[in-house]
Amino acid sequence: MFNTVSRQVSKFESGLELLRQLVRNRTGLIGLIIIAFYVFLAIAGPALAPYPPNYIPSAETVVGPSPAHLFGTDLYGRDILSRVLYAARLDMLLSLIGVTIGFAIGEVIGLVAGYYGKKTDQALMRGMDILLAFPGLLLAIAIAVFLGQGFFSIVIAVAVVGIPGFARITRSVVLSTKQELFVTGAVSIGASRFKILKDHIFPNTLSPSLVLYSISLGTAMLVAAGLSFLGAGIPPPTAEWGAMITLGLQAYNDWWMAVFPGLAITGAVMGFNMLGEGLREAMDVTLRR
Amino acid sequence: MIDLARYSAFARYIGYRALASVPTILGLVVLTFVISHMIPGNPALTVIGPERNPQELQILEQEMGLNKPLYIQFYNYLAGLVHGNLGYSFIQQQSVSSLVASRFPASLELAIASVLIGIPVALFLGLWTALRVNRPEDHAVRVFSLLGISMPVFWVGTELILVFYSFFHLLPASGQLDPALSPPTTITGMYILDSAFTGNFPDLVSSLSHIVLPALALSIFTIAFLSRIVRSGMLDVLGTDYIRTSAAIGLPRNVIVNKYALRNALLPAITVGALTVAGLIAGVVLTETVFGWIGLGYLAFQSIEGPDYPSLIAVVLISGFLFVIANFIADILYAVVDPRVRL
Repeated sequence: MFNTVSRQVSKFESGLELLRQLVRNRTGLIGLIIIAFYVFLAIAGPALAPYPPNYIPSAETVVGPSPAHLFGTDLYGRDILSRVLYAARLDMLLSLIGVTIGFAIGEVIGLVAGYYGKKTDQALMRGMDILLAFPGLLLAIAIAVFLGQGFFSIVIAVAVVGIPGFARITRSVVLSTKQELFVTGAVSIGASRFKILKDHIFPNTLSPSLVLYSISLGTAMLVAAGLSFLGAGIPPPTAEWGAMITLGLQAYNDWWMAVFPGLAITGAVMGFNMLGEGLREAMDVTLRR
Repeated sequence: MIDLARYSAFARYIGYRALASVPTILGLVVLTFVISHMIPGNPALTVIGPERNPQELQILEQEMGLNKPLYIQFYNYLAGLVHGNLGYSFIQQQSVSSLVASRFPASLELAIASVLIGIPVALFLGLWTALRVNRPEDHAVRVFSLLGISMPVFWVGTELILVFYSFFHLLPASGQLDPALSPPTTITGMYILDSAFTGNFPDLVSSLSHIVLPALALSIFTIAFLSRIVRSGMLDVLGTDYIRTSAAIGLPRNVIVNKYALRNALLPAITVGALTVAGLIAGVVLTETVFGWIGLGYLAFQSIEGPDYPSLIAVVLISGFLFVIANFIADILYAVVDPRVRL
């Protein structure tokens, strides 16, 4: 038992072995490629965009997909391709920052609750239960509205929605890891609590959190787009995929307005879901060995 | 003979589960109270408007209890809730509880319609693909379900309108009833049921045609999510020893599947049933917004613009409350299907 677990930790610490497993898994590989593409768009999107995102031409009005505007133009004559490209950076950053904050806080809460147990555990997990008792989107709406429209309100809303999931999964790993021989060993040679948590328990919590992290990035993207769609997210005229769909809904005879931003969201969320599924399968394989 | 001991154990289990949800519900109330006190600025100011007179403001603050200590404010809030008082919406010009009461049936109707579509389809797809693992149809359903959980529901709704309204002119794009018709006599508040009960045929046809697209949009997540759970549950069961034994002693395949496997295969589906409800509640908000379906979700959307804080808080609180109840029902169902849980 000692050996298997410590080997598993070092394997994921290297990261390279995990990547190799992931690439061997078809779902994971496709997910990885999709996400790599989106990361590329997030970095290079503005440079690739043929027009500025809020450029309103003086003569042109609403046109469908054409060589000049591959994805057509929206109600104000703005180029949809350019807006989709610009929004890639915004939407990716929103979910990345939000989920990372949620992960960090949830991880700490899970570690503390699982390791210290008793009343600390009770109090912390009861709080998490309450957060979990709200459907995520509704909680996000409430937070975003009370904090006021804007980038950081959404980031905080996404983070808060993510915290309980990470806390729960981390806590459950801590509870089982705490019983392992290598932890008992560390306690017996007088390692401090902080050191045990940091060096012996924390690394083991990372792999299940990683799966949730990837899937949460997709969910966060849906929440962020949903908030903007409802008018509680990124205010106009900033290009954001969910808000672009709102505009498309106002002109549903012009099919291209909603189709392209929707495809952009769906592709990204699908990529994160596939990556998550691939990670889960890749890690299961290593655990079974 | 009725097995009394068995029933009392079950009753105790239900009682225990019900008690366990009390702190969570209390927590919901505390959290919504805290959020509503995070409102930047003075709530009395938002009520009275910018052209205030200091004296009026003071009177209003007193009326709203804003000068009382926080714990008394919380007590008043809680006491109000117990009496069904959710506050007053100055934007909608009516009490939030009457707003909620008038909007709730429409949301319930939509949710029921989507579940009536979603659950049978999800069960069928899940079981069907479990018996056809790795065949093309299994892969096709897998791709569909991946898409289903990845597509934003408000985009699905928009595209359904595009196809069935704009292109084919088959179904209406928004609302619950043809504007030319007058709503049926209110019995339940749900147009389909009320028009059926009162024999109002034009209303029945119109309300049915209006619910198709939103219910369909809303059911896609349920189908995509639940069918995968049912499939993997069924596969787990089919791999067990007792199924192999029953096959070995020559029981017909349909007996094995329907009598022995199905019940166990549905267990995981019940555990995630509550999660599906959470998805459903979030989906209702977005779907109602897309289709102009005047329910609680639409109230949430409307309250964002104001912002109409009392209405928003009420919808958030009610959705949390419904979710807790859904979890409770899932626990009970689980115990019904799996007697071991009751012990």
